[in-house]
Amino acid sequence: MIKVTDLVKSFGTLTAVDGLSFEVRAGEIFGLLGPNGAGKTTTISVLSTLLPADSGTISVCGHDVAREPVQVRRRIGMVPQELALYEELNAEQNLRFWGRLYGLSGRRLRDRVTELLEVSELTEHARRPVKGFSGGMKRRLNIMIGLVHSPEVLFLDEPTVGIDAQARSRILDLIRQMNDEGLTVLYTTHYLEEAEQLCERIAVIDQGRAVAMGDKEELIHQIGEADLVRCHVPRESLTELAARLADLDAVTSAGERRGKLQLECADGAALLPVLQRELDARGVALEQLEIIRPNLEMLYLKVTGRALRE
Amino acid sequence: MLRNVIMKDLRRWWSDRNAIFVALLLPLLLTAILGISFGGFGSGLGISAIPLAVVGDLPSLPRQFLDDALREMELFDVTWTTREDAERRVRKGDMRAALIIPDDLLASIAEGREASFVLWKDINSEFKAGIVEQILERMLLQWRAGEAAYYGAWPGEWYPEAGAPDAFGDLFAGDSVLDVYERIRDGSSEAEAAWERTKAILDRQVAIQDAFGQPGIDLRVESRGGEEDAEGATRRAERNMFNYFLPGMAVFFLMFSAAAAGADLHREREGGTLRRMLVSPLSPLQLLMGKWSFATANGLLQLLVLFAAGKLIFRLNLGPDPLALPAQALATSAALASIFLVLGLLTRNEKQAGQIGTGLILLMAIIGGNFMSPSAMPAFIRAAARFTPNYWANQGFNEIVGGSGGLGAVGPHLAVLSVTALVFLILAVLLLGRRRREGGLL
Amino acid sequence: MTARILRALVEVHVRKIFADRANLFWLFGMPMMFSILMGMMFGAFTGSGRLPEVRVYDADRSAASAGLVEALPGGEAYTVTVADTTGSEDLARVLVADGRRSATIYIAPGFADSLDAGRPAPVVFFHDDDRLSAQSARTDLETAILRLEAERAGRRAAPDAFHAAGFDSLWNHPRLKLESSFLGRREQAELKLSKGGQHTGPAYTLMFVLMFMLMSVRDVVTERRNGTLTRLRLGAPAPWQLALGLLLGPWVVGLLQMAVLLLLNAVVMGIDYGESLASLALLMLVFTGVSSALALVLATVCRTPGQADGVGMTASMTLAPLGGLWWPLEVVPVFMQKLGLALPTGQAITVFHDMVGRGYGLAENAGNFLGLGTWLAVLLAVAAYRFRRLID
Repeated sequence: MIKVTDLVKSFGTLTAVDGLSFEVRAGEIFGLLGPNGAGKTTTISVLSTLLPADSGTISVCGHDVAREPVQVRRRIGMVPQELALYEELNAEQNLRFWGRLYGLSGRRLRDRVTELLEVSELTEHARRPVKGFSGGMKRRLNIMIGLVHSPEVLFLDEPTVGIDAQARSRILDLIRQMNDEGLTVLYTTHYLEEAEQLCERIAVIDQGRAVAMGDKEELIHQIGEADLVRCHVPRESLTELAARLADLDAVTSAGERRGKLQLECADGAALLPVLQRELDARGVALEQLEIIRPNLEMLYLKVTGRALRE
Repeated sequence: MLRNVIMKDLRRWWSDRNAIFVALLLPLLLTAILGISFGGFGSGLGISAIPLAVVGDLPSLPRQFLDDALREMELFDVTWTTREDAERRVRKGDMRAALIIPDDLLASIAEGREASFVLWKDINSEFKAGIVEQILERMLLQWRAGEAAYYGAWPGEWYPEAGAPDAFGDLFAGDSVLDVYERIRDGSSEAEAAWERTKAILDRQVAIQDAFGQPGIDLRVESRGGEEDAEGATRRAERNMFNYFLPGMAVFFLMFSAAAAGADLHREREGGTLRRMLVSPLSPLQLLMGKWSFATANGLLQLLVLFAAGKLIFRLNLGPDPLALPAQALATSAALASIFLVLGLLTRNEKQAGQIGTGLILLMAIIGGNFMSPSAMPAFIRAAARFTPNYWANQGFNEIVGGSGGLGAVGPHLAVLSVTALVFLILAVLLLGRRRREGGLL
Repeated sequence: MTARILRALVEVHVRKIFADRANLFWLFGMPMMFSILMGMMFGAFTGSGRLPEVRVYDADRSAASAGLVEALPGGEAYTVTVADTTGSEDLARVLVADGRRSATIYIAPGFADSLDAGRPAPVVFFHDDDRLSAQSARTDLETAILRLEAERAGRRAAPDAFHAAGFDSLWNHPRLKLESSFLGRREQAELKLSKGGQHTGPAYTLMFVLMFMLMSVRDVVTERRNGTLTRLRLGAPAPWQLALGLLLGPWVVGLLQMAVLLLLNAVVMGIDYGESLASLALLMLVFTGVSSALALVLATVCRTPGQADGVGMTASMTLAPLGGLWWPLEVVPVFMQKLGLALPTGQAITVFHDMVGRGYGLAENAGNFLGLGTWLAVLLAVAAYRFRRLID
């Protein structure tokens, strides 16, 4: 559905996208995961024909973005990060305006607007000015506008910024629902949990490049399959304990991280009894324990050398 | 597609009732203030009575004569007072002017000596004090004309040569009134001579008056508004001043509306809706034309509503030709919409567009004659005025409202405004293309 | 504690204003531009420049018509040029209608013959009645005609014995004269309000100070919407301190603006402010205070920045003309004069006029200062009351 090959885009001396390549299959939800400034929005802008690429080839729905922008625009929907709504108008007026821009009219437009208001649970608020909506309602409407013309592909650029967990959950459900109906989604975010929950495949982007790509299992495989066990023990026991536990077969490595004892092992749960025995033998009280399964944050840390939230 | 964009912007505009209120109320309010200040509908409202102090020790008859003459003009509020009081009041501003009659005025006139009236003017009341001065000078000019004519005709008669018989002096010689009475009662030679002298003077006065009454130079005065009669000032006072002020105020506030419409591109850009529109099938050119069309239609509506309100409230003259006013309004709106659309494309954000726009509007308003007619300004400003669109707008509306002109009369104005609209619209299209290529629309 | 809070509030406002360079244009550039342009219209910068021309079309070409034209003095107000061609009435009319001349005179053929035959001799005067030069020319033409008429009347009355030299003597040296002078601080015409920027300088200073202050209405409204006002409220011990702080910030900026503008006016246009520095200082203090208080009152009334802009503009654009900042109040009807003098703008400009023209000081201006002080007190009270209700 979307094929990007060696995309490069610069702004003066700043290279925002540096040779990015990926593919999005029809009917999947593909995530672009990366921190602010990684190049996600620039990538979306190029794919949606807003910005010309410096080099590289991009095709969306079988049309080259550079040579056939009009055809591309007819087939894509866009949900920008900022709330691109006319706050002076009501929800229905917003949907009708954007629908007409895409050539919808008459009954077809009316039915589509009604349907979208129902899906987004905004029917009761259809005639209220948007400026009176809550953040979550505005976000839902923002997405519905992107869908008003039934596009084949939907670009969502961080659509859940600034809203509460419940509203976010509703939005993610909405996207899944659309996807179930056949919509292809390109989803950018800097929230790991969203990417993990929603996306089938993810490209991890940093400084304009894809540093890792694949489905969740493939990605986690890149960082190995080790669990991390972290526990809080008295400082005076930490070093000795780490040295002792490092000798255990079940433990790949042991050390101190941010004042805690950190153990890398194949199976964190299986290690627990062993750990408890060692601590009891030394009369050390266990104050806190967590087992961290391999995740995207660990992946990000591994491939970029820093945390996603730094 | 275009209609969709226009209707969307119309709905957004309609939702901001404050902006509509200001765009319509403020011009009407200012027109009311300006119009009332300068004469309103022309009856009853105008220059108020000018407080004038008069100082002079005249006998009762001449004093009454002067007092009546001043009051009959219905311009002055006359107060006879002392010199010291007059000076104090003028300095304080209670009196706009004080007329000091020379003490020996009658004797000076009788003896042919010079005499000077003194006029003290309030330094902070230049306008009204100036009116007093003009009127007094006119009165003295009439006197001068009569005196010069008489003297030219009978140089030896009015002011007798030294040593010549003084008929009046002989009649009134002595201190006793009884002596004067007896001379008159008895038909003395002194009385006879005085009577003959009086008759001669009066006969000559009549002769001079008759001579002045003969047909002479027939001066016809025409201002730009048309012929004035002898009382040109009166004719002007009957002019509806709201005709003069409302067009200027309407165009002035229209410029603000046009500027807001031009800056709307920034609002849409900053709000994200511009980006969304650029991703849709709507082409940038269609978007631009939509914005321009809305601004033009909005401006046209604003002007028509203002003029209609002006008709109802201020008895505004809408001209004899039903097409002239709408055509002028349309051309004006189109030209201003184009210009401020270009400004919107040249500026970086809404704040910059607003600030530069307001500065430009104020400057154009002064130069182009929204506050004061360019004809009253220095030559270089009059020349510069022709380069402002509001000049052509104001002049065109004045032709219709003030001059009762029709479509033909505003032809040149329509042409200039239409060309302006087209030129700036083309410029806007070119700028839009450049900004799009540079990514500046995002 | 209070002084520190107030100082912090004033400082943040002043910094915000001057951080935006564009504000410098609004504070100083635009007012000066207005003052200079308007002052130019009233002859602020006299000197080089062509005098307006009054064109004469003499279609009669007689001694009588030449005599009439010669009697037009011209001088400082206009120049007189006699066209080589006889022209026409329409041509003379069009020249004025098109704005190419301020006035034209057309003397029709047969002028002299008509005079001799005792018939009306036509002369047409076309003029742009908005232009002073045209008004001067009209007065001069009417005087010249009166002279001619007077001479002819004398000749008719005494056809055989008319004494032309005597007539000329009495016409050129009339016995009754009018000597006029202004009574003021100096008995000179340089201080006339219409001279140069003497009115426009102070008037537009007042107008733009008021206008900029009223633009701060939007700032307070925006702070309310953004939530920074609530934050400020939490920091300040009492609402009155917050209100005073929000008042003082614009007040300080307004004072600075007014001081700079008055100085620039004095330097650039040579404007005189009288001799009472105390009066000038008090005027600046009180007027800027009134403007700031008015802005705060309006800020408590408006709910959106758009409303604030509209209300601010409406207030400044009505207070200015009503108060006599656009034209002296003496030209308007009495009831409007009274209204104007009751407004702070009217009171302020009157103080200026009286300082300059009459040499008034603090004592003489007491009445107007009392008026301004009353406005300040009332507006402060209203602002404090409404502000407290707003944030409590």
